[in-house]
Amino acid sequence: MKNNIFKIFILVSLILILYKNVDFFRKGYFVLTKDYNQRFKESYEKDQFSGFCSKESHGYVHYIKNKYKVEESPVIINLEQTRRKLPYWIFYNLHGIVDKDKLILLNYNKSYDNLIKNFTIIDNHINKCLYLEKKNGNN
Amino acid sequence: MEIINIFYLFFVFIIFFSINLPFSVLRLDNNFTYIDQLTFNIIIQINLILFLSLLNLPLEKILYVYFSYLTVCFIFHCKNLNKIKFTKINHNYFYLFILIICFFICLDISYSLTLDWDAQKFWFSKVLNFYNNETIDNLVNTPNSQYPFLGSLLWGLFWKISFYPEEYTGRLFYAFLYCISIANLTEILKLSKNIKMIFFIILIMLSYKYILFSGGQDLLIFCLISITAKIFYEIIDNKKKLSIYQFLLLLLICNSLIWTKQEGVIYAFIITFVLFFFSKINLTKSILLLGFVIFFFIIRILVHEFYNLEININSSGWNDFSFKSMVEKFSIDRIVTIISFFIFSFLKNSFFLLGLFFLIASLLFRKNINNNSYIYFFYTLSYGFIFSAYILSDMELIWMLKTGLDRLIFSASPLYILIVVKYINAHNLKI
Repeated sequence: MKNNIFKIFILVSLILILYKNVDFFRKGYFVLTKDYNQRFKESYEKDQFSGFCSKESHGYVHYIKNKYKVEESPVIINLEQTRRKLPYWIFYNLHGIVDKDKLILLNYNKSYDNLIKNFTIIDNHINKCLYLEKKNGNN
Repeated sequence: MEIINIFYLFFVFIIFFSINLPFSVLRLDNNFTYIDQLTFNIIIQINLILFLSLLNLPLEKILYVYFSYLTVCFIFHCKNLNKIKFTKINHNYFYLFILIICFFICLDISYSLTLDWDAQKFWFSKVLNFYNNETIDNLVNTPNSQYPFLGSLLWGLFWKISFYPEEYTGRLFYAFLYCISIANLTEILKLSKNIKMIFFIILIMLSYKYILFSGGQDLLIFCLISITAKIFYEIIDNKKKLSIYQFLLLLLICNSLIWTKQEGVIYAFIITFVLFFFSKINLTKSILLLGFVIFFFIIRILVHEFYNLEININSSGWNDFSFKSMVEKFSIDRIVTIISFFIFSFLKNSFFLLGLFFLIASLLFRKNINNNSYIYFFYTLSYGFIFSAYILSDMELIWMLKTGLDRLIFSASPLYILIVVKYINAHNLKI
């Protein structure tokens, strides 16, 4: 009997340690209370290679996908000097399928003004991340 | 909604993987536990799904055939319902416990969501290929088409089955497979269910990290090697005969390894060599096993050839195999760098440390140390291969070691747990 209580005590303690380490309660609560888009944004904000509108900017690309109900991935250009992966996968399209009339510019600054003169700005996040559409008649 | 989807997928996993083959080879072994049954069915079914994909079928058609297979099996078992032995009630709480832990892990995946570098770059484009109903024919348009795709196929399939349309739902299958494979290691212990539960949770605590579930395929290799570890223990340590079930399971595990990651091919051969040299299975079976693994490997090459997928490993970082270049790469500097990274990776691997602790304990406290030679053999070949891969690499060595070595050491690590289990079982530890 004593032995059994001891085993159960050990087991419960280990479950609690695991529970605490992985922080299941908080995570479970957030899965219930926050929607997928919000969790996605927050997760990539914590990612060392990404952020909402910095580095690989997964958050911004995902925000554009949801806000404008974009189904086909726009062209994505990251203007940061460091070489970054481009998160085309967020649109769940096949590899290489892009809508060439739309453009997402990440880590943009004024020195790249020439790049956007043929485009209309649809969304602008702090002049750093832009969602653009080609003006009619331009190639 | 998402929580309901997690429960729904749990239900799918349990129901699908509880459905046995119609003419069950399982009946040959009376000591079959529910975990054995689940493991066998998972391996059978993932190989069926793989086979269907090789016929160039899109995911929707694969699902039709897969559901038909499950329906036929289910109808057969309904006919024989009176013959089915249900698991003993007193064991059920152990299985329930595994499911609860699995649910915790699924919650973490649903919360954390991020994909790792390799997943974003290579594996997820293959998932999208299947999810968007393309066949393996179209994998030629994905990056690194020489990479195998079994993990991506399963990810895409369970994402498709799920009613919540986000990619992470496909990765919940990885959590289920992970828990089942850890349960396999736990079941080797000859102790009470309570102790097995404690051991199970210790192994989870030592090995669980979200990064393993972020889309990389190393976790699948880890799971397949964990299942193999249990067969090794029964065949080599317990000196049992290799049953048809185990033979079939080993073959399908080797095939799954070949189609999961490039290094899976090497592990498939190492597993065969371990059985060849250390088990007492007869020569015919050993040669048959080796023959089948070679056959599976040739099939993979032919499939890649047929669908114009790349075969060479050049684009993965190995370009120059000239004798002169190879000699140059074997410099003292590179060897020391690799060895020092190996040491750091070992120190970060909890399974290695636990195994080492029990190995030292067995050396210190007992003279009759169990025969661990097959474990040493497995790791000598595995690490020899990893070392060669790094020393011959043309890419920046330190970057490759930093980004890859921990994962490679992790994926081969389940056999260290055999040292622990063997110590506990051999010395009849009264806990």
